Amino acid sequence: MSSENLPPDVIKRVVKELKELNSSTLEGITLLPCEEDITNIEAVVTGPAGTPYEGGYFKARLILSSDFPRSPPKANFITKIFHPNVSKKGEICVNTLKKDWAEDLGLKHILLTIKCLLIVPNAESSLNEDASRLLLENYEDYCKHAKLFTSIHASKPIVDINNNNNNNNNSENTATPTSTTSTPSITTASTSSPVKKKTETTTSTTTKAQPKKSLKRL
Amino acid sequence: MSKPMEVEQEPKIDDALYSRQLYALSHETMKKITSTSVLVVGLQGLGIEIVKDLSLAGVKSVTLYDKEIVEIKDLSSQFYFSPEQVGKVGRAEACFQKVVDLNSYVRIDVHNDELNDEFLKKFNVVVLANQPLALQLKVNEFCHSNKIHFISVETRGVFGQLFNDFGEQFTITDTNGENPNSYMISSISQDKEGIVTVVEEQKLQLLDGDLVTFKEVNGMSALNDLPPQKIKTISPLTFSIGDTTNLPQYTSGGYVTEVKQSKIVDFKPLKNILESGENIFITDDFKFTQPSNLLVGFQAIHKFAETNKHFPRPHNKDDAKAVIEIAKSLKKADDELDEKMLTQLSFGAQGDIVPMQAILGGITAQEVLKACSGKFTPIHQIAFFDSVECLPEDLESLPEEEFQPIGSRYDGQIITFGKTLQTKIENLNYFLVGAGAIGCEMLKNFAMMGLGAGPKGLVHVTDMDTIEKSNLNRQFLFRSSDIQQLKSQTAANAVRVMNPALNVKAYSLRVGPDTETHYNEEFFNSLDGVCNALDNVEARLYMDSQCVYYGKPLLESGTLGTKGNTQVVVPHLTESYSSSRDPPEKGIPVCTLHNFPNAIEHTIQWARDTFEGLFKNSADNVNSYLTNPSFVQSLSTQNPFVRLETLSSIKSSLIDRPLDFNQCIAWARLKFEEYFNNTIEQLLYNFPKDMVTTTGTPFWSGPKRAPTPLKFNVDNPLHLDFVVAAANLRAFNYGIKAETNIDVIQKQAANVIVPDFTPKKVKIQTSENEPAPSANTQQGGDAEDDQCDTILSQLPQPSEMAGYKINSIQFEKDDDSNHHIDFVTATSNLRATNYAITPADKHKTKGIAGKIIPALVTTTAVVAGFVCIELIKVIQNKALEKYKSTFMNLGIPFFGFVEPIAAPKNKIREGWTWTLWDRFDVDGDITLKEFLDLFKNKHGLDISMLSCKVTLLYALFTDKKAKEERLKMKISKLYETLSKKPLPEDKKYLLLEICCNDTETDDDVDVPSVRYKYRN
Repeated sequence: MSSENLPPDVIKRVVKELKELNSSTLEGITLLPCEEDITNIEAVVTGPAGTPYEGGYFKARLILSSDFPRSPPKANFITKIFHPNVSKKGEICVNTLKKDWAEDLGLKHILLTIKCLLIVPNAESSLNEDASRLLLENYEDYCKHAKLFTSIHASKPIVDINNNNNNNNNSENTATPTSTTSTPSITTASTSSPVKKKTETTTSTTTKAQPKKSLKRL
Repeated sequence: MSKPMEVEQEPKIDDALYSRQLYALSHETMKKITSTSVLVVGLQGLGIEIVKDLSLAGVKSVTLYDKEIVEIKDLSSQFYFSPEQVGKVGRAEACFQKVVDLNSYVRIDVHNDELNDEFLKKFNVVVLANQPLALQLKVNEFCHSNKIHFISVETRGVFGQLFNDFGEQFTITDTNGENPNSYMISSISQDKEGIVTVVEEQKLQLLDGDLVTFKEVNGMSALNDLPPQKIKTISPLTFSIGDTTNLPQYTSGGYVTEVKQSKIVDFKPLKNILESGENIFITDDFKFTQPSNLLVGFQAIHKFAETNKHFPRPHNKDDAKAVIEIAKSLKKADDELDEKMLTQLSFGAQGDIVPMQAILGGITAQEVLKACSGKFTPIHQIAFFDSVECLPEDLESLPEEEFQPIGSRYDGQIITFGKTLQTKIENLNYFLVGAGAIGCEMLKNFAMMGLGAGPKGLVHVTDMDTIEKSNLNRQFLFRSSDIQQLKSQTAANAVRVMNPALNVKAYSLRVGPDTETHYNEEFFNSLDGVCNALDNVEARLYMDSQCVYYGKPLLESGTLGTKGNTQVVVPHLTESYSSSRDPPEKGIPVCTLHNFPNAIEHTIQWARDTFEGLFKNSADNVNSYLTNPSFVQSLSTQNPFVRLETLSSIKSSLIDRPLDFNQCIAWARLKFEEYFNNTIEQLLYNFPKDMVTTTGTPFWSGPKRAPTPLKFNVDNPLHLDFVVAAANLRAFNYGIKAETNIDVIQKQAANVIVPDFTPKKVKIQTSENEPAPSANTQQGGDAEDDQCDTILSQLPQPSEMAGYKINSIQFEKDDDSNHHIDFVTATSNLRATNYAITPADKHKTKGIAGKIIPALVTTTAVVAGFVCIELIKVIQNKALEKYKSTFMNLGIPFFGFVEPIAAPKNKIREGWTWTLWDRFDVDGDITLKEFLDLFKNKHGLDISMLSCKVTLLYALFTDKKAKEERLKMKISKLYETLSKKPLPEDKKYLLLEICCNDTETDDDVDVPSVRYKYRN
């Protein structure tokens, strides 16, 4: 749940961080718009070169609780990823988000930590036992497997899809701002080409609808 | 079940009643308390505070002694006297019945005969409250030689003094009440000075000379059997334990735990202390001359009273001079007298204010508990307190007349602060947020002060909670007959009895964004201030932001066991509550929780999460699926696996739902297998016990403990506990009547057929051409998505099950019959057994799982007293340095008073600074463009970001087309559109936050919030 309750100074801090994140493009991290609710932050982490995640686009979500920054944001991968420290549900195990959390750690720091995790997986704090075991036993196999996951689940650039849609749907969405017109599920970006997605979008009310996103291109 | 009669049983402690106190004191301490008899001499405001706290704490007996007849002035702080008793009844008699009603476990007596030696001998602790010095000396002498713990405490206006004499060789068994530290070991060297290294990420909090014990050490296992060892610290991770050369080599594992050491102290009689000035306990590090001055000051006013048969008269300059003269004759040669302080003491010597009684009374009650239990370090030996900062600034120049009693119940307060201030207090409008522990104390204080009792005065009190048994131990306005009643209403009624003139309005609406139509602008504008009595940070932050917004003073406080703090927030003067925060909460890493627990906290958290998942979330999901048409759609923003898991759980809840209790038992039995056997087997299959990492170290080492699967054994009580609790909760989910006969459940559980488990081998797919194994995917579609579709097609349509609902279970820690804590305890302990972690009993588990905050009535009373002192300063608009934030720990003991931090000044440009109390006011409703232009032209500020609550209305990075659209929109419409929330009917303002640059310099500047009026 997001928190309407954040004190003004915390909101200001978050807004500032978002501004900073947007103006200084962090290499390999792109913020997705989150205007409706800035306590629900989504970003795309590009798989770092030289890792089995290279060429992948991984969507992650940070949720700020009502007592942020006293308690750390909850971080999850939405895109599937084969990684020792990411559970199948997308939960991420890094100390930054738990016992090493400090109030002055910014969103930027968290996103960079997540990106670093893609470069340096830690088999010992395992959340995905298969990935950990493979990493410990046979790095080659781990790489191959993770690459395969990347190619299947994370191969399509997420931001581009959105931008395309933004431009195309712009006029109708401004006209009916509260509509829940569905847009393609970003999480399953791999399943079809952007073109096919759009056809789906206009015709279907499938479960992949993302009502939340329909307004950001207002 | 009948048991043979047992004779002379130890008194049983009522865990439900004393719950929060037990978490602060322990059962062992509680046993000592319940066998302690206390005599309290003197039953004005100070005495009754002590008696109240001790009765709630649950001592064996309290005997009241005070034969003086009730005076009207006593009603300034004696909350159990009524005006009808004035001039008629003895003080002890007058309050007896109300004290009896506080706690049925405590015997209350009134003593009306002489205070002779035979009588005194009956008690473990004797307390004198505001008694003549001669009596103090006499009783103390007898107590000292008869090994009776003696405390004498006094309050005179804003001054207080406490003296302890617990005899010679008094043993303190626990000096601070903290849990002994325990550390995981990573290595121990074989050496003349054997060095123990603890696992990283822990910080050693041990000192040279501390004693430690070892357990579960492998290899050098002889250490486990050794008596406590003395250590020498070396580094933040290492310490030495002496010669280990003769011990076998350390291999792995083990914990080292601090052994708490007791301490023996000697107390001297009062006479010696007054003569020598030794053993003064400093309460305020910044008041250097206070102790020596008050040491003679208190003696001086007693001497004055002995001569004149009364204490110095209110605000009487002659009497004050006489007191100073006496003080001069008593003081040590090199001590300097602070005549101003002595004058203040003399002026108010007959004063009687409830905040001081609460502070000194609360502290004294805790000292009594220390005396009888040895728990916590006592004040050694004499301590002085003063709150001179809350006296009127121009005290000495005010006329004597101002401070003369008028025959009112507030005379004690009038003597201290004067009539003008008294009238002001009576006509205040205050909002008390919370009627729990601090709230009850605060209401009592308000009633005695007359706050809100004047024609224009009013106290608003709100609390959404109802009264529970565990509240009665410190929320003293409630009786067991009030259980289930609303706290606010009950508390308001109780204090109306204490002072019928009090205007108090009770609400049960919680404070928050959703109740702003009730606690609206008009409401806040009517207030003089807000007093928080809350138990959570979220509500505190909310009230803080409201007070900043409306420019109201806020009194803030909190307690944790013997620790307490207070903070005063004054508009345009101090920083606000949210300006500084408590240290962040450290969570448990997800992987530790899931796979590598190494402490009981980890298994308890896991058990608590499991409870939530099994009995609440799955029921909620089913109910949402059945009633909310967009539920399935909303799942699509989730991670595919989460989505699949949610749908699977709905499926199993709906399609595989139990029809009778036997099926619940079977389900529970299978859950046992899944959690404590299969999952562990699978983990060990993935990471065998002998696995070695790439660096050559064993995988299962350091903080990672290798688990062992459990074989279900129906005769093992722990195993059966799990089945009973899980089956009952499952049955509750489905409204199935539970079986209460354990034998039947046991038999059923034994008969459940459990499929064999074989660990799954992970098929590792390394090429896209291989056939995809289960966890993987096929090209063009996610396995999870396909599975989700399959499940969705199997699920009954919501319309087919109209009206069907699963009972979602809300975790409730304080009901002993609901199986919630039983489930968490059994689950946690079974998992602890898997990982060879020492299990925890139900009490401890409940404390951790329920995040129970230890609480003591003593700390609460003291904190509420300090808050009222600040309140009195606030209404006099005191300067910053007169206010105090308080930090204290009654257990160590420690008191710290610091000046609040001034509201930080932010600079926008030369000649333009602001604080958190400032803001822009913009009259709308205008378009975004007009708004941006306004700031550019009027203030020279270029806005780059604009937000309202959590919604971002405008940002530099908003794409061009959208920006153009937005610029034309009115701000109110823009907010409505983007946040998808309609603007409330009855509100006029939005609070906007802006980020901007100075148009001149293009520097990023910090600016205040904007109060934007969008409607008239």
